[in-house]
Amino acid sequence: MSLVQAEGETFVKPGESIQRALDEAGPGATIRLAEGDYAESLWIKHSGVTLVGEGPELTRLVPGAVAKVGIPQLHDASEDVVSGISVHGDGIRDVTVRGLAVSGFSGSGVYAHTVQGLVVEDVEARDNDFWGVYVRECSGVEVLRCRASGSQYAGIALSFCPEANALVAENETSANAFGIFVDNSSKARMLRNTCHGNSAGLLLLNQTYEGELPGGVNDCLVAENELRGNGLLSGEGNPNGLGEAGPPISGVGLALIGAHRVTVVGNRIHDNHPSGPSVMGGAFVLGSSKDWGGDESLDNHISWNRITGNTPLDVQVDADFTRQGFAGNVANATAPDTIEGCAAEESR
Amino acid sequence: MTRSAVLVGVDIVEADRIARTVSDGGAAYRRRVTTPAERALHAGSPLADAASFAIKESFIKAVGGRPAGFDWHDFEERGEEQGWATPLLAEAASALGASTELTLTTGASYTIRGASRRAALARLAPRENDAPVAGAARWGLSAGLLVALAIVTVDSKGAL
Repeated sequence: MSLVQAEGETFVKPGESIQRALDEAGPGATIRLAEGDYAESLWIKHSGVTLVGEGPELTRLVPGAVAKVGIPQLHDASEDVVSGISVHGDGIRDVTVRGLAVSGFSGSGVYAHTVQGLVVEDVEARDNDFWGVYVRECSGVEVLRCRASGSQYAGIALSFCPEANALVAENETSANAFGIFVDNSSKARMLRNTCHGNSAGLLLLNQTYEGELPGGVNDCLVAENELRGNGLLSGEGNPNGLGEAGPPISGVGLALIGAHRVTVVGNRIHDNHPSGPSVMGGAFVLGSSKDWGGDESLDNHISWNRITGNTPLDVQVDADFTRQGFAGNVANATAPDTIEGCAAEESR
Repeated sequence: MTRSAVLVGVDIVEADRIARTVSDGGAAYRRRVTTPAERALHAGSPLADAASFAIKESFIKAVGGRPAGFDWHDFEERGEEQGWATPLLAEAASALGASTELTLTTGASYTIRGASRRAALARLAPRENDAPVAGAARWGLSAGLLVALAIVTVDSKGAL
């Protein structure tokens, strides 16, 4: 292997081992990947590491040599499941992964666990079995301008990050169970993402099972996202395994389940049509998880959204209206039939 | 409570974001933010609709936030900028321009009513519940930003 050291950076070419470069460079390293395919999985275990490719069209990580990874197993995954890039270590912080594609792994494309300060930018996570970009128990998270498709659960997920302080912006997700999944995570902003062709575009879920970490989805902002054409069918009994751990879901643009103090503003939610049975009946759903390990949805503000052209409903609310604020939304078919703050399109 | 002679509020917002909201919200947006008189005043002007949002946000800041019972119609444009407001707005606009390089080009006077009027009175003249409250604003579009400046004062002598 010929690694060239230049001003603190390490350059890796196809045929060389990225993992060896990571291990040798240690904390604070910048690893630059040349154009080409790399057949290996990686474990970033040092703080301050930046892993940069030439862009997802040019630098591609695919399954090959398996890195020994000391990271907790993905939920529901067997021990032989392999993620493309795992980020985990004792007190690890300030890690950046940018400008590459990660595809075809049996676990997650990128899997970060207990990292403080994580940036995943301009990464394409395609056809990874479980998750595209899976971020668990992390804080200070940025997932920016990524594309994530073809995963059994979510394209991008924040899981059990109660102090996520996350920015998830300008990503595109498709063909997953959930485009973006805010799973028991708080203080996250989801801005200007496009989620299409999933079973649910953007799902914020407060629900935990016995023995899991404390749950909750609090203090989030969902703004200016394009959530359209999410009509895949996921959930138990699904023959392709999409979202098989959950109930049947299809035709959902945005759902807030058991969420507290979430502001939803300026989103376009349209043309979402279920392709099978779904526990959610609208393209925008505000509901409760109180009976299954969560809480009522409380103190949320839903303003200036355009929610049209969906079936069977544009908006479905099962929450205490005295504890929510709806204002200036355009929606045609709603349940209940009349929601103050939701006006039909015909009256434009 | 400290008594102020004039309340000042500023709002700066990306014009594209507001234009998108105006477009998406259509009539529902206009009905919520602007009064019938304002819609008649600026019929068919998306820029005016967008500016209304920024201007009223600046009034909201001037009166100290959205009081209980707040309505966007608490602030209603009533015509051209009045003489009393010109020196105050000019001074404030100059200071704003010096710090932001944003220019305010259009002015108007405003009626303030309802919960927002009461909130303004509480900050301006706590003992004068019936005093008339006057408002004025300037706004402009610079470098893709809508910027609005509002002032609110009490007309205890009926001079405004």
